Amino acid sequence: MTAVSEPVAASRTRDAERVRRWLRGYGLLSPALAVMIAMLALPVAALVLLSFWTQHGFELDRSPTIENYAQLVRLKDEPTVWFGIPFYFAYPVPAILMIKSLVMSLSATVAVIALAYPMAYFLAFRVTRNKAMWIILITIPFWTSYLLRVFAWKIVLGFNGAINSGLKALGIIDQPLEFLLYNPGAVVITLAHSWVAFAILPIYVSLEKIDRSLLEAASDLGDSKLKRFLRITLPLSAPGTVAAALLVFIPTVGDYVTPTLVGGPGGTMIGNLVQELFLKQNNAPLGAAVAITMMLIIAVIVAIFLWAIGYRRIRSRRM
Amino acid sequence: MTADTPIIELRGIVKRFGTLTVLRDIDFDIRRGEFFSLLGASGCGKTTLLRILAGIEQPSGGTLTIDGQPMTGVPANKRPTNMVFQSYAIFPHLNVEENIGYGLRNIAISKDDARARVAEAIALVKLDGLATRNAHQLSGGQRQRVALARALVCQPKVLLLDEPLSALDKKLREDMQQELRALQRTVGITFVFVTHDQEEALTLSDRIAVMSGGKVLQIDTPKGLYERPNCLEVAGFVGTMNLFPATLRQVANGRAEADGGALGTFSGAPAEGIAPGKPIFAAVRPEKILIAAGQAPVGENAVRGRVSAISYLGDRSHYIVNVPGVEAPVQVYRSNLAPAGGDAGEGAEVTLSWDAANALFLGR
Amino acid sequence: MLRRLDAVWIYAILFVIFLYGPVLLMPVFALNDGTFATFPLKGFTLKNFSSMAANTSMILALQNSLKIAISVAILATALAIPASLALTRFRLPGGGPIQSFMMLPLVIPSIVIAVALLVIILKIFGIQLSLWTVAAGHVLICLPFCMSVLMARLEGFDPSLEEASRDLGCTAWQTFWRLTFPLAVPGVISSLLMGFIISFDEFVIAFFLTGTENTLPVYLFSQLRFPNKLPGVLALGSLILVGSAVLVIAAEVIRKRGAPSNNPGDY
Repeated sequence: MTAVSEPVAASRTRDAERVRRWLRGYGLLSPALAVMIAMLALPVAALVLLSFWTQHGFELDRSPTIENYAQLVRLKDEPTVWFGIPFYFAYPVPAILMIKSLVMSLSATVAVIALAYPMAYFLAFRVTRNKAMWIILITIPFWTSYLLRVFAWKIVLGFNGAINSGLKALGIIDQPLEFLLYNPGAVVITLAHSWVAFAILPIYVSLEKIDRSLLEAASDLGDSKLKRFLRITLPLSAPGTVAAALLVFIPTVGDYVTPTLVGGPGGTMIGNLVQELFLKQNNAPLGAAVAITMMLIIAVIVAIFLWAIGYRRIRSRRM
Repeated sequence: MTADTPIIELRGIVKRFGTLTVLRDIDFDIRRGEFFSLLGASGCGKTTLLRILAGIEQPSGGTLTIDGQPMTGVPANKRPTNMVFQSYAIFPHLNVEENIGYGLRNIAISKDDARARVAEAIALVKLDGLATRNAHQLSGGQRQRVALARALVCQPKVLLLDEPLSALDKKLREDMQQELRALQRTVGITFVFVTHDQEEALTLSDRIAVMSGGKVLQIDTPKGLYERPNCLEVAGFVGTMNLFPATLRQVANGRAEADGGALGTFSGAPAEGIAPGKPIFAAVRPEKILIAAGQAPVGENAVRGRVSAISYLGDRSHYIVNVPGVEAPVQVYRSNLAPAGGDAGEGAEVTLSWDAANALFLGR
Repeated sequence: MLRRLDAVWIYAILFVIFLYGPVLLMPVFALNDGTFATFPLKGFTLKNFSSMAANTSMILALQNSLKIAISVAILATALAIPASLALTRFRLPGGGPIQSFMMLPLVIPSIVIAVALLVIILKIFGIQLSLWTVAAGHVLICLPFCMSVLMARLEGFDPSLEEASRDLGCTAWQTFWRLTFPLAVPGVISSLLMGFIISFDEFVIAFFLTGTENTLPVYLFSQLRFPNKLPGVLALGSLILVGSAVLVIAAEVIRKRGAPSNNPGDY
C-alpha cells in the first residue's frame, strides 16, 4: 500500500491543539508566576536600582551613581586590624562582617552536615518500623518558630541560663561562665541547631534511593562495611548532601535573627548591617548595595564550589 | 455502515517523539467484531499505536477512522473506544462499583440504568460480592477484572487492551486468556489487544499484526503467520524456524527450486518479492522435519547431520541436530506417538527430510 | 522488643535530645514559679499562662497573626494548585527554568526578600506598610513550600489514571474534579497547614514589612529585650511551640496517610 499523504488541515489541527495545550498550561501557571514576578523579580530589580541611588539625609537622590559600591571598596592607608587581619578599606565594617558571616555560616554548615548525615543514614538504613513517625519527629523542629528556637539557646547559654544555673546548683562552678553567650561560637551552635533538621531530608532521600542490591554487590565483591560505605553509599548520596549544604549555607549567611539574639556585639553578621542601614541609619541605598553585594558573593562562592566538586558529573551519575 | 466495512481504518499513520520516529506509515484495517492483536517486542511501537487509537496520543501524520468517523482532533473522551491500561489505572479513591461506574456519569442515562449496567458488568467479569471493596484491597486479577468491566460498561465500539495480562502470574494468565476470549465472543465488541507474548497472541486472536521498528511486518491469522510468514523476522518471532541457506534457481507456478550447494537442492513455496539468483533461506518448522537414523543420500529436501542433544518432553522429543553448512543447529520435534525409531541417539548420524509443501523460501 | 543498640542508634537518641532539649526548656521554665529561667526549679505554677488572658496587646498580635496566616495559607495554596498542575501535567517549553525560579525564595536570605519588598512597597509604589504587606511577603515565601508538597503529590500517581479518566469520557475539567483533586486532597490540606505554620511563625519579613500593628512573632521579639517579661514570653513561646508541633504532625500524617499507592496489598 502506498502512503497517503497527510492532509494539510489535519496537520494544522494538530499544531493548533498543541499550542492550545501549551496556552492552557501557561494559563494555569500565570497567577503564581505573576505573584513571583511582582513580588520577587521586580523587588530585587528595584533593590538593584536603589543601590545606584544615594541618600542625603531625608532626600533620596535619584541620579545613577556607583558611589554606594565605591564606598564598600574604597581604600585608605591606615589599615583597620581585625583578628590580626589588616583591612585597608576606608569603611571596613561591611567587608569585616561579610567575611565573618561567611566563616560563621560555613562553620555552621559543616556542623549541620556532620550532625545530619549520620541521622539521615540512621533513618534510611536502620529504622525499619515507624519510619514515618521518625521522619515527623525529625522535621517538627524545623517547622516550629525559628525565633523561638533561637531564643531557646539564649535560655540555655545565658548568664543566668540553664547551663550556668544548672552547673552552679550542682556546685561545679561558683561564677556563671560568661563566654557561653554573645559570641560567634554561640551563633554557630544556634545556627547549626536551627538548620540541622532541614538538612536531614535531602540527604535521607538520596540515601533512601540507593538500590540495596548495589550494597550487596559491593559486599559480594569483597568490600568491608566501611569500604562499601566510602565507595558506594557516600558517592551516591553526594547530590543530596550537596543540596543540603547549599540549602543551609545560602540562607544562613544573611541570617538576622540568630546574631541579633545570641550574637551580642561580637557575633553580629552582615544581615545586622543591612537591617541597621535600612531601619536605623536611614541609608537604604547603601543597605541595598550591601545586600546585593552579599548575594553576588554568595552566588560566586556557590558557583565555585559546585564547579570544584564537579556537581554536574555527580548529578548525572544518578540513574 | 454495513457489517463488512472495517471498524478501524489506519492510513499512513506516523508518530514522532522529537527526532525519534516510533511509527512509520502504518496502514491497515481492523474488522468489525474481531479479536485483533498487535504483537511485537518492546519498543516496536505497538503501545503507541494503541494510544493513538484511544486518542491519548496524537499521530504526527496520517489519518484514523473509527466506524466511519474521522478521528483527527477528536479527544480521548469523545471517542467510541475504551481502554484497559497495563497498570489497570484503578482509581485509588473509589471502590469497585464507583470505578466501574466512572464513565457512565459522562453518558446521558438515568441513575437506575447506570446502577443496573454496573451490576451487569460486575456479574460479567465475575466480581460478584466485591462491589464495595476498596481499590487497594484487590488482588492483581481482581484489579484486571475491574479495569475490564470499567471499560466494557461504556459499551465502546472498540475495546483497547494494553498488555492486560502481563502483570499476572502464569497460571492466572492462562485462565484469563480463556476468559477474555469467551468474553469477547459474548459481548461481540472489537478487541484490539497489545502483547509481546507470541503464544498469547496466537491463543487469543482472530488476526495478528506483527510489528517491529515502528512498522507492521505482516497481518494474518495465527495459522497464516505460522505457516506462511512473509519474512525472516516474522518467522523468527512466531514459533521456531529452521533456516537452510541456498540460492534461488527458478520460480514457476508458485513453486521454486533452490541450490543449497553441499546441502543439495531444495524446493518449496517462495515468499513474495524474491527473484532467481538471490540468496534465500529454505525455512522449515521443527515439527515438519522427519528424522531418520543412518545416512540416506542427500537429495531434494534432505540433509545429513549429527544429533547433538535430545530432550524428552513427554508428548514429543526435541532433537538438536548439527548440520554442516547450517549456522544454527537444526531443531526437530518428533512425536512420541510414533513407534520408537529409537536408534537415533545422541551423537548418531541422521538424515533430515521434509515435504516440499512444508518448505518456504524467505529472502535473506 | 530488643533493638541492637549500636553506635548509630545511640547517636540517633543523642541527636533527638540535642534537637529537642533546648526547645523543651521553654515549657519547663514557663511552668516554673520563678522570674528567671534558672535551675534549680522553684515550683509548679500556671500563673504565667493565666496572666496571658489579660495581655491585650498580645491577644491583638495573635489575632493579627491568625488573620494573616489563614489568608496566606489559602492564597498560597490557591496559587500553587494550578501552577503545580501546569508543571507536572503539561510538558511546557521552559517548564524547568520556571520551576527553578519559583523555588528561589527557598534559598534567598529572608532579609534580602524583606528589604527588596520594603523598597518596592515604600520607595517605588509608595504603599503604606500594613498587615497586608506582611501577608504579601508571606505568600511569596510560602509558595515554594506549597508547590513542593503539591507537586510531589501530583507526581506520585500513575499517569494512566488521568488517561483512563479521559478515555472514559471525562473532559479535562471533569477529570480534575472527579479524579485529580480528590487524589490531591491530602496534599492540599498539607499545603494549607504548611502555609499557615510558615506565615504564623515568620519573623524577619513581618518585622520589616509591618506597619503599626504587630504580628505575634514581632510582638514576642519586642518582649525579648525586657528581662521582667521573660515568664510571659516563656508561656507564650510554649503555647506557640505546642500549637505549631500539633499542626506539623497533622500536616505530615495527612500527607503520609494519603500517599498514593497503586500496588495491591501495599498499605
